[in-house]
Amino acid sequence: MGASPQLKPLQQKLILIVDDTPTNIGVISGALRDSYKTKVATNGAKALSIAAEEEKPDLILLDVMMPEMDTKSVGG
Amino acid sequence: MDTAAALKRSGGNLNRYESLLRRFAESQATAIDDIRVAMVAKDTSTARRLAHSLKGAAANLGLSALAEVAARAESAIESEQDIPLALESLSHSLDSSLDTIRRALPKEAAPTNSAVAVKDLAVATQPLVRLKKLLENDDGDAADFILDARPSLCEVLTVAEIDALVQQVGNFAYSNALQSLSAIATRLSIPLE
Repeated sequence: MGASPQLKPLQQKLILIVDDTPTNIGVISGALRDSYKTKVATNGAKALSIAAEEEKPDLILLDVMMPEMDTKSVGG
Repeated sequence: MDTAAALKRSGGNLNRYESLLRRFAESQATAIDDIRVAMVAKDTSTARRLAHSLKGAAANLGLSALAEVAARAESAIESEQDIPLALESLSHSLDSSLDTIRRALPKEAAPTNSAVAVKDLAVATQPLVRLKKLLENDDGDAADFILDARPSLCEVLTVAEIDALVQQVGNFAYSNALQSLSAIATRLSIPLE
């Protein structure tokens, strides 16, 4: 395979969507899935473990009102 | 119901939108009871959060009237004023929305087989392996994949297995879905690696 720049696939940006309401994850990821790679988490703890993985999200969309671990403790 | 805008918001994909409505109807069926239970337990923060979730989900799906009534219930809970009345309106509005959704949605394809035909195992193995990979990666694409793979999965899975899997994936409860997958793999004696 030659290193032809125009054949190189565009690197897809990764967006992590965090929300405890599945409908909201569904709508948001549905709007983004066709253009971006998406990862999903229904709670803050899971979001942190995904964010700590090797493949770092380029953007994290974090719900502001979640039970257990609130947004401040995830984001802070 | 503003379906056109909501459909556009969820990526213009009808299957996706239908699936979201289905999961919404399942998951919000007990919402009012849950809010009332929380209020009785004087757990207003849970009650408020439930009303808040219902509001957001309804708005996202184009159920604007329901979203508005849920918003009023949320403020009623917050200000501790006219809560019974607000919950009564919310209950009516939710019932009517759920009724509309259930009547509008086409019936989902269900397994027709009573027993698993061994020859069809290969048909389902590949999608199950792929699904497992998507779930392990917390990949948002799993929600589309389960809809596309449903017909092949119907060949070998039982009604209960399909229903559980589709619900868990559609609700983004990926760890539960992975447990279901592993039980399915054990029953069918197929490795999913």
